Amino acid sequence: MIGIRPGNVAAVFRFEWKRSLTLPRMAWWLVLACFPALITALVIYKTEPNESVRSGSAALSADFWAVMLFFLVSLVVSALGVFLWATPAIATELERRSWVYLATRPNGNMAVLFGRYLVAVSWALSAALIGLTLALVIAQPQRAFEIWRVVAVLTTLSCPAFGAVYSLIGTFAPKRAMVFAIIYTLLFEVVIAFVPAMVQEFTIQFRLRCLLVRWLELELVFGGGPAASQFLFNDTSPAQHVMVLLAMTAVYLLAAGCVLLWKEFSTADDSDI
Amino acid sequence: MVELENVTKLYGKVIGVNDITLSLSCGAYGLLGPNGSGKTTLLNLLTGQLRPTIGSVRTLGESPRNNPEFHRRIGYCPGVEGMYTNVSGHDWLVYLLKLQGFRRREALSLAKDALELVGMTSAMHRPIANCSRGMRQRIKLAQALSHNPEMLILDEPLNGLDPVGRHEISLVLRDWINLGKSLLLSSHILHEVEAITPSFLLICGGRLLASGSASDVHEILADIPNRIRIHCSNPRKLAELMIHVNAIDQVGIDDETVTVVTRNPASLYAYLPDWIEGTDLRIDEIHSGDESLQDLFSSLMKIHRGQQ
Repeated sequence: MIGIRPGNVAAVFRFEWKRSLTLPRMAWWLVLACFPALITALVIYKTEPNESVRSGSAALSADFWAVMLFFLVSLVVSALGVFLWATPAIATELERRSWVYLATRPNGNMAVLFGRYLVAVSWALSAALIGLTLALVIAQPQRAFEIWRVVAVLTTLSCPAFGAVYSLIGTFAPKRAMVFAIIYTLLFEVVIAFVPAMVQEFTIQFRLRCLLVRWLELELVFGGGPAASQFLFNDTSPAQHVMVLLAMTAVYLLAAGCVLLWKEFSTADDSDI
Repeated sequence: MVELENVTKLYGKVIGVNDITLSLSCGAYGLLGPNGSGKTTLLNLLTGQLRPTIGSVRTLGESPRNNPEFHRRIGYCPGVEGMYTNVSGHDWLVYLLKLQGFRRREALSLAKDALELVGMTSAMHRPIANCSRGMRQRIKLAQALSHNPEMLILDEPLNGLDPVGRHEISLVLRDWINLGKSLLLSSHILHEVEAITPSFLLICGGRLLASGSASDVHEILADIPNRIRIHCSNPRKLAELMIHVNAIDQVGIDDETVTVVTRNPASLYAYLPDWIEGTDLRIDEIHSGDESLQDLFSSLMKIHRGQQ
């Protein structure tokens, strides 16, 4: 019976994690983890040139840090982290021609998809959460723990969601996966996410943004007036946003699984004709 | 074991397999055909990697496409290398065995046994990147054998092996057949397949041209001229000696090579020692190659098209 065997997924997860512990990949992880802290330090340096107050960052409000860390951690680091891992998951197997070994195992194709998806999520999530913690330690804003808690939860939602989208793209068009993933990110998550129309509700960024504002009751954003906030947020309850995000993640993963079952990954090149 | 009904596979406008109908009972078969003949496409259809454009495929009585139960029952050794090079053969097999559904302890034991069977015990912990092509071929075979499947499907399993390696792996496969298990292996070299199984399927241009035993193939081959190239110190002298031999149909000279076309290569080979002994002639190389097989496929294609 077609399905997902947890044992198989766990085998792929363990194997891929073990394989990922190479110097270049660990360096990438470190770069991602340090990125929010580095930007935070630069912001503090730029806004507070006075040496005596540099460590306190008192001039910047907690809301500012919440928004900045949300963009840096929940969006940039999370999306970039899973982009690097989840998008080429199938393509690398096809290019290496190892796909056939895995796909001729019972539910092997599904195990590879979901195992590598989990690796991508855990890899990006660990870098993002450490990056968030480091950044907050440097920034030392007011309500630091509250910001950490909210951004950490948003990151925990964003990594699986972005990972699911990129897995779907990587499964649907493995040969051009990176290009399509970049196009998707720029078009949907950067442009359409800010378009004041219903279509923005289909983006991950919009849902996360609304949750950030609701959970932290940000004055910074609502200060722009009701008209501005209408463009950027809606009145949906946080629980509903979370449900939608989880549903989007599940639907994208399900779609990726269906594509995997439907698509033929052996080509004429592989078949000596 | 295998049932194909009017199976055609198209890659866009390129035809991989062309209207093959075939029914094979359990046993061992060699799938013989030149490069690009559609062997791998056929094996990909049989393992469920591809679905036929037209027709139906059943392997071991089941539809192979997206069928986990079926994948438990087969062992597939693909023609491509494609293994992770930064892990050892042992770790690669353990990983694949876990995907097959075995627990870690069982996987460790089965991987060790399979690598021992193919003669890889001493190099099993070496990263695949540091293994020779022959060693990689053995690892590929081990991963197909390791979970003790009912049927082995092997795509060019002897490629890259030295003569000793070929012999050893042929013995492993013959033992496998003697256990009463099924085997389908593809190759473009007749004697390779002949050393393992006497039953053949001949495929060319995506079509199944003939099937039968080794003697059937040799019977067809007997009527087809064999082209032999001999690299020697004095090609003119050798050609002069050859034209007096009845069994030789044609002799040609090109630089230091004499090309002979004969329907009876054995008689030519019988003359060679005398020629070398009685003259200052030195023979450096003899190439018999697979031209005869290529000629066989060409002849069969002509018969298939009604041109002969």
